[in-house]
Amino acid sequence: MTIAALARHVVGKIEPAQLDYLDLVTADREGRGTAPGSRNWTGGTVGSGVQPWVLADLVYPLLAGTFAQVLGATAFARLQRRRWWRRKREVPPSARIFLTPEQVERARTACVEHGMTLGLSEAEATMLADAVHGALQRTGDE
Amino acid sequence: MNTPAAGVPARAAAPPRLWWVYVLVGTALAVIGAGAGQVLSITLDLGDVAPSHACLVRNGISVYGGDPVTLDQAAYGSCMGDYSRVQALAALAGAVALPVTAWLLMLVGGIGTRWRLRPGRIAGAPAASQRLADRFAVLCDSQGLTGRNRPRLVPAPPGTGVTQAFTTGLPGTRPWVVVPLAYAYTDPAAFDAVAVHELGHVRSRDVLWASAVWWAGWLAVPALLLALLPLAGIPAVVWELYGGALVAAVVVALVMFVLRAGLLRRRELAADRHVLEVTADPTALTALIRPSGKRRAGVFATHPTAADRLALDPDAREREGGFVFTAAVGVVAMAAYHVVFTASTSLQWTIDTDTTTWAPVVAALLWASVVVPAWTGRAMSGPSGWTGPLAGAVVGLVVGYFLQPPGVITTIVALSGRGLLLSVPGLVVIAFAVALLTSGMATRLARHNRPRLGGFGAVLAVTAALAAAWGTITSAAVIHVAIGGVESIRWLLVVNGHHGIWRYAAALALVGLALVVPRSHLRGPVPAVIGMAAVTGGTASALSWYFRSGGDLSDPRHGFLTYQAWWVCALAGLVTAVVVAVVNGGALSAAPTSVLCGLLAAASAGAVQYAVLRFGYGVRSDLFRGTLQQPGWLLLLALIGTTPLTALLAAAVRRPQPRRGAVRWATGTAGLTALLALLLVAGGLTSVTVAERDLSDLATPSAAAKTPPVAPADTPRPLDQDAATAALADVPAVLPPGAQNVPTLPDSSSTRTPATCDEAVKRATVNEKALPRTAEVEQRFTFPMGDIPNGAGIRVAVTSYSAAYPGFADLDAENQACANFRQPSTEGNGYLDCYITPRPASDFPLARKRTLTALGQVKGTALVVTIHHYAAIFGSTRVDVAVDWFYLAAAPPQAVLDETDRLVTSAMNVIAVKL
Repeated sequence: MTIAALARHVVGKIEPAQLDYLDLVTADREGRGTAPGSRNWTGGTVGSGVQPWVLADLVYPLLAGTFAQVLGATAFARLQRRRWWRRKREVPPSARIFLTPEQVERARTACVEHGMTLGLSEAEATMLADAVHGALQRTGDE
Repeated sequence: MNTPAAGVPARAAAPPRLWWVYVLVGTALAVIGAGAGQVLSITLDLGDVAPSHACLVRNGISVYGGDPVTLDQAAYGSCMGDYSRVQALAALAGAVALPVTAWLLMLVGGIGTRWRLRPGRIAGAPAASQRLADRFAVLCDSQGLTGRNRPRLVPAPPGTGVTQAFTTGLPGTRPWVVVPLAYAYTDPAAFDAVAVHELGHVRSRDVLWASAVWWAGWLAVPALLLALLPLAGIPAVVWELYGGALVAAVVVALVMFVLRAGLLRRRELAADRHVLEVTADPTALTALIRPSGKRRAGVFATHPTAADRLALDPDAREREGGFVFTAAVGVVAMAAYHVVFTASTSLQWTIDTDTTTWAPVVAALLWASVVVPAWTGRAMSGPSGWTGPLAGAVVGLVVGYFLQPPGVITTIVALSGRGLLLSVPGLVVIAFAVALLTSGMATRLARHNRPRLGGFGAVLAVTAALAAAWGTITSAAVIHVAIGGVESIRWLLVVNGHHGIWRYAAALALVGLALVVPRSHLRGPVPAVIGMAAVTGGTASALSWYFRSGGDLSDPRHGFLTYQAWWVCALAGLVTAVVVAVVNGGALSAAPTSVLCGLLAAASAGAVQYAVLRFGYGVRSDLFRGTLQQPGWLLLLALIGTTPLTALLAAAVRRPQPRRGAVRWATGTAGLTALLALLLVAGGLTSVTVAERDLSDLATPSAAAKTPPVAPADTPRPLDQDAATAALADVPAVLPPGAQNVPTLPDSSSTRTPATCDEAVKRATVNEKALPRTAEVEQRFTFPMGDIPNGAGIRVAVTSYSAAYPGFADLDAENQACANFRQPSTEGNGYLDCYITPRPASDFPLARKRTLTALGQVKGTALVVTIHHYAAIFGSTRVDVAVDWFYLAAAPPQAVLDETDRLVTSAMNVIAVKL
């Protein structure tokens, strides 16, 4: 199962209205979109200082953190792709993941922890973790 | 997808615009640009400094600045006029170029942002973005943002890298409000909050000033570095000459970024408050801002912490005009002062007019134009303490005066020991007095019926008072350093009211105050107080002058009596101002009324004095000078000087209600005025007003003669060889230690250009050789002198002729023909540019002094050979003394020039007494 499919499953289950937006996020992360740039170098902008939080923006960082914890550093590094112009390694949405049943179970706990780290409430994080866990289990069953 | 919140929000007032930031940042950019321009003119040597410095050396003036009072201004101007003009023009060009550069960068930045968000990049956004646009239109309409005033909404999809909503602007176009497309999928209240927040920035036009300050900060150091580029090969020299300027530029840049961030944090709160007002929902921000654990924003943070934003009090108002604001305005105003002072003094020989008043006027106008509105807004926002703003005014103006803007070369005479002692307390008192008056006027303007007219009056009055007082105290510091003594300071303070535009200072202050103070404040005991002070003061003034002016008055006595009479009028005004302040309960808002009443009383007393002398005794005088100009000027001095005491008194007698009792207060005013007048005439106030010796001391010519005159020798008879040789015997005694007798140099026979010069020199030589002589002796010595390379040499010659020497006709013709000539050289570019400047020679009846400089180059470095020539005729004997030395690149200090002059004169004297 690809990470993009997993993300689509999670978003479709919790916030289906965001699926078209998720496609844009996925395309951006996959590299078909434009690389993010800084708007601050001109000094000619006055920002709000706050970021909107929607599930489609949140799902990829959440899944990346979860899999990094579950798979371990070495296995996770194989998923990452590094572009020469970026400092951070990124996991492309098209990357395929394979988890053992034991890792699937650990993924749920990890997902709750990372969701709370990203600023979600425990209830929100748990709901997301359940969706992720369900999708992973279904993939394992198939 | 969520549907944006329905309903039309309430119209809210726009957050206040920070127009003053544009004034400050524009001025700061101009100052930085002027400094860079001045540095560039030096590093590129645009004005060709070597000939100018050589000219100064010929005139005995050090390039490091001579005594500002005794300096021969005409000679200095003739030498440095062209060079200074180029330097001033370079500074002015920089002052224009850097703001223009910042403006262009703002354009480039705005265009860059729009390029990143061009239609091709935001195309393909889901239909949800249209709903954002519809809701945004509703929000804009609700705030009256229609037509060209309506900003454009740009929903930015993830591929654009936009993660936060922001507003961006391009000068002359509609601003853009850019929001992440994600807001189409959030709680509709979040989009409303973020859109209204950004509309708050749009309505207060925060984008352009933020961009301007940003670029001002980034340009401070590069502008100076660019100007220093010609010296890139010699970093040690750069650091030695401009290290301080570079450090100052870095500090300026950092301060700009810190102030910008601090100001933006305040603007974010103002925009958040706009959200609360528009949505009429005190919890509206919770839809936008998530709590975070951060407790404190850093100095470079452009946003307050989430906790501060969520705890925002919707009813509280941000108050401008506090300590930091006022201090920053003072520093910028004084930076402008230094630039204008430098440029105006550099141009004084070009435009041939008095430019000394420009700098204080520009600085005071800038300060008043920014501070008066800001403090008025502060006073309007409710009761507030004035300690911070007053302290900020004093610190900003005084510290700003002693800070040199990066790259700007300005002479702060007050930095010398004596000047510092005088100027620091003086500047502090002036800044405090003017700030106190400004705060009083701001408090008054907060309740004014016609705030624009009143504001204009306040700016006028503050500008007049601050400019005149600041310009006078800085001039007094110069005089004090040059002359010394209390008399010089006291006299300058008194007579500066005649100088330039200062003669209108009191009149302008009066007009300005009249526009601020309502007529209703001139009721109660006030008219009676003014009237009694005017009659008492005017009568006392006239009598003090009339009864002591009999007989043939000397000029100092006449001046003293006139000024003392005007001082009596001013004291009447001072008493009136203090009494009115007490009558009004010592309220801060009554300060303008007190000053206005004081000026009216002083001018009226002057008018009474004029009338008594004119119609009672037939004495004619200038009505304006005798009423507003001089009594008003002296009153301004007295008011400023006594401000600390008056402020304490006002605090001691403070009460909420005005005092009554017109007769009592008027009688008291008359009595106090009469008492002070008697005290003044009796000499009890001489030390703080005027003394007769002030003028008489200054009228006496300086006794400091440089060289004691030597009795002219009476030697009609020709000398023989032994006598001529003996005449030179004492020369080594006047030379510096280490002097050595060396062989004389052979005569040069090079050809000079123009031909008239060459002919004049050769004719003089031929004529001199043709004269029959009885003796001819010449000696040459070399000796070390200061840091002059290879030291200096002196040639002394005594030639005695069979008949009387025919005079200096040939020498004068040579000086005239060879004022500027060129002769070949084996070094550098193959020639020397030579100039001859005759100097005054008054020690002997028949004598000539002149200085010759020959300017060439050695390996690209300017080489200047200097010859100080002194010739005198004693009957049939001619004596020549010539000191020669050279320097590379940098001219020597004044001590060396004085020493060469002393050597030439001393050598001539010791020879003369032997003849």
